[in-house]
Amino acid sequence: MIKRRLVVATAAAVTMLIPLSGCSAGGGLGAQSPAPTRTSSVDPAVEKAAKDFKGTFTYWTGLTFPDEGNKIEQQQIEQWGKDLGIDVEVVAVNQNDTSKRVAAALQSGSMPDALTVGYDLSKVMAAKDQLAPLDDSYKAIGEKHQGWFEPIDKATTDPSWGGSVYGIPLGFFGNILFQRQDLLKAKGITDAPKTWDEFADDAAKITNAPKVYGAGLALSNVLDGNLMTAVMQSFGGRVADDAGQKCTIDSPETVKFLDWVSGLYKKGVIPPDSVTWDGAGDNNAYLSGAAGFIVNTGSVYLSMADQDPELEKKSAYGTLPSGPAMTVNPVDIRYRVVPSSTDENGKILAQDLFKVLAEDDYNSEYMAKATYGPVLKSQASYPIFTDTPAYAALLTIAQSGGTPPAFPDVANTAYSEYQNTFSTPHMIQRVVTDGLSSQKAAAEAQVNCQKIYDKYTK
Amino acid sequence: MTKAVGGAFPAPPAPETKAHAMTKPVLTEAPVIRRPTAVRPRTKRPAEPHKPGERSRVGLFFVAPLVLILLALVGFPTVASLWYSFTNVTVGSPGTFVGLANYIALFGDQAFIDAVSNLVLIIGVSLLIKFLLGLTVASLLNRPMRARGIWRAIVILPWAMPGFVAFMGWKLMFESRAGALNQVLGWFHLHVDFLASPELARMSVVMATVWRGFPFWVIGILAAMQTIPKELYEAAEMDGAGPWRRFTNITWPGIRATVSVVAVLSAIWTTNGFENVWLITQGGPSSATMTFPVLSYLDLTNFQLGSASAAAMITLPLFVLLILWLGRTGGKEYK
Repeated sequence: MIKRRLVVATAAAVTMLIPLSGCSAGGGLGAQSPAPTRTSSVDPAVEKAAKDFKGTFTYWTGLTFPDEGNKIEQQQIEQWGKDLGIDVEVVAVNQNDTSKRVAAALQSGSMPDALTVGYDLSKVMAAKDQLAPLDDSYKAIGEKHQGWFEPIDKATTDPSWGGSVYGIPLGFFGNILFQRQDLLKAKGITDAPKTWDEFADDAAKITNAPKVYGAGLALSNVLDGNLMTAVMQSFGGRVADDAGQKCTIDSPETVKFLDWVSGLYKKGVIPPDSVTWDGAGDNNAYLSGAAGFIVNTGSVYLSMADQDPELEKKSAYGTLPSGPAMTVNPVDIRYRVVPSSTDENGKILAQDLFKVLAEDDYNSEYMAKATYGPVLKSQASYPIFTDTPAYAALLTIAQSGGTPPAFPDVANTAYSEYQNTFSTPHMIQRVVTDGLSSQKAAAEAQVNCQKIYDKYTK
Repeated sequence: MTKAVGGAFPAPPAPETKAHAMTKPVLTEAPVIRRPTAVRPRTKRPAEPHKPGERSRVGLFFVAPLVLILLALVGFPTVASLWYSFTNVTVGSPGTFVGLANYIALFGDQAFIDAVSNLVLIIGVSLLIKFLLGLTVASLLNRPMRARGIWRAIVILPWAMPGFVAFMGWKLMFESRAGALNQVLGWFHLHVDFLASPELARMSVVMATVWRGFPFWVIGILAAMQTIPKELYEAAEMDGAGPWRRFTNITWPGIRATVSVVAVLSAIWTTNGFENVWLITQGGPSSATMTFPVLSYLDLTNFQLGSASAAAMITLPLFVLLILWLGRTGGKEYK
């Protein structure tokens, strides 16, 4: 009978443990210091707007990693509201869900007074007149903080926005090349790869499948998979022409890129299941020691620093290699925006809030706990960007290596939809999963791409 | 049995016989029974009936708020989605009527063809396995055993668990290197990339979908099994019926109506399932595990409400047919 009970108990435990078996522990959070009160004087127009503002000022923040950064941002916004004597509600939104939340809020007329959005979403919203212009605030904040970094400024003031600035950049997700220095050194490789071909050679040398795959590149239908568009562009492939209207993806350069990436996959240098990785696939591969190279934002570094300092010591960080045609390292900017539905007092308050959130006292603390690259030149002296190797790579991207989103393509709504439907990783999957030739996959992608562009040009 | 031939008054009842009495019942001459016509027994006069339509009006008054709420919460979104599917509406702009353009574009998409084939390969196979597993586990749990309550609670756990947790857990278990399944396979020097090939990816999605959904079948079938009188099984056993005959002649007729309801509900939920595919494969590799909800979601992320609605509404006729079928067959079963 005891045996039988033991079986029951064991089965119960196993069943309960099944869904938990793969869960990883999150990072611990340190104690929070109180948010600083504002140092700048309050503009009389802001004071009046605060007095006349009715209801609660709502801000949708974009969740970042680790959670400590989110708490710092929330405290600062609440402190700002307290200083002005207005009620504030801060709603933290998972950045993967922002577009869905915005879509629902736009349909139901329940948009917040201000929010954080990604580059692509802000582009779509601006094209539909759903955002208020913020030219004066953009200029004022830039002037106060030694100016905006060039890739950020180019992307934000590009004529494709329609002649106005619609968002105040708060940071960017950059592509850092994480490298397992210990594995590379063991194979006699001492320098970081400068070209994608060198990258392929180095990755092949350190591959020891299925334990270690050299190139931990996501080829799946997630945002990480869209990095492949940048690699394709560095090979000379283009999504569309200079007018941003006609797809030009079916080109010899695209075919060359497809041959290159599918060759790596077929040789087993890229993990086979990278075609279905989720957003954490490459993170997990690197953190579990199964990938020699990955391209990621700073979140992997923070995880290592917190949970695996040994792996952090074995790693090196750099910018993306160059392709045969050029270097493409897009900065995925996050913007603070004001919906056009916000009333006039709300618009004045939101812009004041953006100024407060750009202050260096606050930002030096916030950016040390978030995963963003710097956008303002005054941020270059923050300790996190001078003393931490992974974040120093983000600073390099901002100063010299970064390219505006979509570059060399035109960043328009059609391009955003091309990226949002994961068209480049899908084209790669057609070769490596479905066995199509590179030529056929490029031709098929051309047709699908043109369907997208036709929606916006006809 | 006595045979009624007719008569003026009811005759005294025949001697009571028991179904399992060992003695043969004594047959007596049948009494004459006639329908009473001359004298009617006095009965209490029924309450004055309501005027025609009055009761129904009162009833309607009481159910009206609920009907209105249901219309607002269920009817409006359904009709709106149907209308959207014939327009090019995007978030923030009303769009115009485009007829069948969204559906025609959908039919020309390779992902649509994959979604149709996955109705059979993923949804159909999942349902079949859920049925077989549900039936087997329900049969086991219907037998007397120690700690039966605990076993039943354990079986229900996957269904009670939030889908996100369940499918993320499976995703991590399928993981190529650190996943639990490959850790176990590693003991035997085996390695399987569960999510790399179309066939294995489909199988993995089916496995996770079945794990999460089969407890609903167990609960339904078990509940139906418990309504079947034990005497029927005892009698069948005495008559020498084996397990298979007992199942086909007693169990199956007893649970068939419930299985139909469970099957239809499960088919609808599985077809509309999003987390099981999105969290494990995002519809990939390529579009090997593409389903209609994922297709719809991809359009929605680009604010294309028209084409997203078309992808979502495409399975509606199938659901209507299933519900109509259930209404007809289920009604007969219960009669």
